[in-house]
Amino acid sequence: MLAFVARRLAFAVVTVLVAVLISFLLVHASDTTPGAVRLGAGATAADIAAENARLGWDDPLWQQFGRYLGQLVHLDLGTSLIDGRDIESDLAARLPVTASVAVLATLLSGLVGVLLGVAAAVRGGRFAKAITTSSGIALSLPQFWIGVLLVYVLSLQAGLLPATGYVPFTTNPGRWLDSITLPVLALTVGGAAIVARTSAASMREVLGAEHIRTLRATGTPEWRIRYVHALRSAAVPVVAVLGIQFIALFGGSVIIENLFALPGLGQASQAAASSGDFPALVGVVVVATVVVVLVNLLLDLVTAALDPKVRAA
Amino acid sequence: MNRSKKLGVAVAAVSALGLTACGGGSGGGGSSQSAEGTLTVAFDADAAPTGYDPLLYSQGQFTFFGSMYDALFETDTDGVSQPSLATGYTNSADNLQTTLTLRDDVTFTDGSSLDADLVKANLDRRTDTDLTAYGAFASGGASEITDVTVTDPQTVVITWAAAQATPENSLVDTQGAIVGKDGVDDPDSLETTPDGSGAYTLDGDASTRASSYTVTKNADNWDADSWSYDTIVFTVITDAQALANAVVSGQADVATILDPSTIDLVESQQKTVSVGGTIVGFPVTDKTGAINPAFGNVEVRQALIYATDRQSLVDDLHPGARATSQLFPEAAEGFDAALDTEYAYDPDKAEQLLADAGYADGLEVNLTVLGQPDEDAVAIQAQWAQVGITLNFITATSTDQAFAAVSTDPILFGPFAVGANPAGFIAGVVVGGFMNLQQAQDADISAALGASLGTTGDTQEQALTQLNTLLTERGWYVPVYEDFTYAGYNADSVQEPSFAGTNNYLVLSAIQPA
Repeated sequence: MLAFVARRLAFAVVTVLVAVLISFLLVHASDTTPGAVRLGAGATAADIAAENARLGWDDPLWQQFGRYLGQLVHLDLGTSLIDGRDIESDLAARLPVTASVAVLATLLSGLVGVLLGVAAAVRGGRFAKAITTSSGIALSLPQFWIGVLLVYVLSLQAGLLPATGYVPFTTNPGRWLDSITLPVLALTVGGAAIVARTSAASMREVLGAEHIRTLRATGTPEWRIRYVHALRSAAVPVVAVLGIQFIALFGGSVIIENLFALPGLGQASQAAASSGDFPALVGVVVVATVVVVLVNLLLDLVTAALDPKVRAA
Repeated sequence: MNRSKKLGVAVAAVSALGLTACGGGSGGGGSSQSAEGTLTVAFDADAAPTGYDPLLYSQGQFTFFGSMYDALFETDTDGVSQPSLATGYTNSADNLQTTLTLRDDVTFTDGSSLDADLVKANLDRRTDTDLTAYGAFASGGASEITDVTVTDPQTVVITWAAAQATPENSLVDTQGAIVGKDGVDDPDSLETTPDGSGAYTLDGDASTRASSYTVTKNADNWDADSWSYDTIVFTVITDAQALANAVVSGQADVATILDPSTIDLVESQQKTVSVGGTIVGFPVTDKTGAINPAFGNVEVRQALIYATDRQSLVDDLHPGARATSQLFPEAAEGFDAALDTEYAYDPDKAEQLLADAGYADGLEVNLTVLGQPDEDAVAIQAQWAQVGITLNFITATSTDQAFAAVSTDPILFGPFAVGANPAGFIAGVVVGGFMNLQQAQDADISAALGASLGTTGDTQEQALTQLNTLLTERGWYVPVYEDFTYAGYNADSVQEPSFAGTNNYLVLSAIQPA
């Protein structure tokens, strides 16, 4: 197991480095420069050139990349070209917003999806068809459309929940929950649908496996067969789907954050991209990559714990 | 337990299975729900995208910056510039010099005090081309300042390049905002730290750039009693639907600027307030024929005005807007209702004018667009085609090309607002700015502009009316419609907010609890 963890950790570090390198190169491939962004439209070419030189933009790429990696080692993401703000402080304030929505939506998707999927596999018949059909419909609905609908019904009409805004957990836990409930629900509909389909298919397959028949033959109670033995075996693909789900939710937060006016990483990345704020943009990529890689690592470990064959692979 | 709490608890219950990453950060944006003593204002765009130097921004940003900064003069709800840091002024007989008297009880967040040296130090930043607010004060600007002299600690004399009969209209809001000594000495510090003397100070811990800004009242401020709220939270909601949702569902007390498509929703449950002042139309950049020889003829330029069916455009595409044949909005001094009748849609007259100018067979006009032409331009293309004018859309492949259109196309298209100082706008933009890079001359327009800038009262109003008339008559601008700016407000929490006269920004200090 230790060797497995070491391999996954090394892979995670390489993944982060590659992501940083790609974003770094993409920034350098753009048709503008940090000097031009920092000095604005009124700057002369000479001023821009001088500012680029001051910022080290003219240095060899490997030197710039080395400097940036050195900063990262010290957890320093630099300062914004636009307003000089400290990027890691800004992103540290935004990360909990995006993370809390993504984590809650993933957990809720998992819980609802597994319950529905297992029920469909166990009960079969019309119930299974209903789950399959309704999950198909849910999967076809765009998240933003679900969000708009939820806002209209639960906020604008019923007045149950706030339509926009974010309240930090530390300020008021109850209002924090209120503020993220609609975004979480909007993301959960599609997430739960795909988890339900995956867990139903996996559960059906496992319930027909030989070792399950053996367990039945030995008189193991049916509930134990279903919810301990079968569910554990069926969980491996479900965990994989949940991992992908989290990554998709975390990385694709721009639309939902705009719709609900949440001050998260998606909003920051959109602002950084539209203003050409290179350090802020790369900072968002770094933070998002690290989070995604860490979650992947965690999921790998969970999968390995569930399935010994994975550890041996 | 109310329904909201029940739902919250339900979600909490199902999400309690090992939630580990939900401990919100210290920032993360302030609360957006109204509390006693707190005003929440939602903007459709970031209020401070390039930091906290108010001089980097146009007048419309004063709704936000007015909380943290005072200005020499500030626009009231009637659109009149009122004394603020300047207690008053006197002008020389020729209106070339203005002597300002300053308050002596003003302190900035850096601890410095307001005095004439500080005002001079602020105004001397006018050579910095990044300072949008000072564009008119810079060399060649509409209100060019040639010198600022300190005569005593509370008196400063401003010398203008051209007569300024109403200098308070130039030294107002962001243009008149005064930054403290530390901010002036080190403008880069303003990127992260405001340095104003306003009634509020920024609460950095409760603010997240581009998302929300929280300011708290400075009880020691000289003008603190004029403001109603202890705390103001400015939230940024760029999605038009979300902005409307915020005011409808009560997360924002005031939301501005509302997208026209959301007005019905807001009005169905809350209230709105609107102001005109934005004229959508075609500035004629080629008045000499240098780009398109046809445009050297005033008849051709007039033909564009007669060939535009403004009313159908408004009826079909912009219900609530007002068809207009003049650059000045209905509420501005110099507006003349007769112009809308005189220059109403008349395709026969347009054809006749084209024929008189030697273009009976029609002409081609290029208009550069970034991306797709908007629906207005497409509709007008069809209207102009009926009188023989072919409007060609040239798709810009870069923003540089789009901006360069002022030199390559005979006309532009977009929304323009003359604001509280129409003569200043004409001087700085229409005659002396990007709408006239050819530096076309018209003696009558110059005379009317000079009179508008150098007179006051009825004389100035007459001059402005003449100026407005000439801009249409000489075809310097092809107006289409006057657009309206909407703000939504929660009538349960605030009284009806007011715009700054005909300007499309709200007077923050005038917002009162319901």
